Amino acid sequence: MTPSPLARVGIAALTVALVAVCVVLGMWQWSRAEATGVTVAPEPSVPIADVLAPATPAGLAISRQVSVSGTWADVDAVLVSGREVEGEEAVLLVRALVVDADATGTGQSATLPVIVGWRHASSPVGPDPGPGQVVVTGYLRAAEEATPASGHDGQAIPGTVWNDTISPSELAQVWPSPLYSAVLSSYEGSASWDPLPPPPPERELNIRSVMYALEWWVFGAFALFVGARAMRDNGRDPSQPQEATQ
Amino acid sequence: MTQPAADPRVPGALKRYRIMAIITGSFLLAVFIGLFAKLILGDGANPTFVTVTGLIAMVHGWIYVIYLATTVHLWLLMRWGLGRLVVMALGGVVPFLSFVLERRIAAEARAAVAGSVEP
Repeated sequence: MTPSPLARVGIAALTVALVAVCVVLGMWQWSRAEATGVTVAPEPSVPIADVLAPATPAGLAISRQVSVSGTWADVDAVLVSGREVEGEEAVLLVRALVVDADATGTGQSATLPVIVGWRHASSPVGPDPGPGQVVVTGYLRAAEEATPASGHDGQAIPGTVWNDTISPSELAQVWPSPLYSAVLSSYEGSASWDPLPPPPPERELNIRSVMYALEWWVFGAFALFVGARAMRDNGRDPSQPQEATQ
Repeated sequence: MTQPAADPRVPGALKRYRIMAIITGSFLLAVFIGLFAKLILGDGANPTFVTVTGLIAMVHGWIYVIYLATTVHLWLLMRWGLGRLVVMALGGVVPFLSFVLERRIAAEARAAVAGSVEP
């Protein structure tokens, strides 16, 4: 016997309610999976040669912590304007680090753009005169897209040029080749430049809650299927002659 | 009223349902034993024990999904009412219910198959 129209409406309402409950419970478990996930400690710092070679795509090296030894190149540093750090308008200093030939992994020295640090946008200064040989520790960041040079009206500071992106492809025109395709964000800073904050720790989802979330959604799918079949009286009308059940 | 011929797929579906009912029921018992033990032991519970019971609960969740699939299949083939499906579904979450149900469902399905008019 096919359900009456009224019964069908009831079944439909019940199905919608059940599916909604399952979806909501699944979403709740998913949010719990994020909230109760454990924080994953970043991989320890490694020599840059272990994760990235010069002039190759950065790929998996992004966000890895590396240490690198080299000397600051005698070229103009870049002041990057229009940034925000810890809620303040900031300017970043990017310098060219000539990585030692025995530290690149290729046997040939290469240039790595290093974000030395940041200052308030109102008081940019030139790079601090540093020691010749340095070891910089930090984490690798993806390069930014090159943009058409925007005539920056910032004050001219000797030893620097202004730009609004950190793009190795742009830097390659003025810095010694070969260049790394990623940018190192230094943990040390320098006398006048504060280091950028480290990247936020990555969180892993709580597997158990993820499983429960998926299960709730599967139950929702079951409810939808069964509701649809029930509205058609389990798919068949027993009073009708049988046909095509095979 | 003449019963329609039972679907030839019923015996296979019934077998799968019974196997899953027993497995689900057993896992459910393990889950409940773990829950009670944790309630009694409180914070003194052995961490390995907590991990294992958590794992059992997780496995039970997916076994229950398979159980539901076999249940819905049998329910479709037997053309039972909605109420019966709800009771069968509860079998995977109420301790011991699946064992009781498994016997009754099997008996009824067999009776229905035996009593049906062969085409």
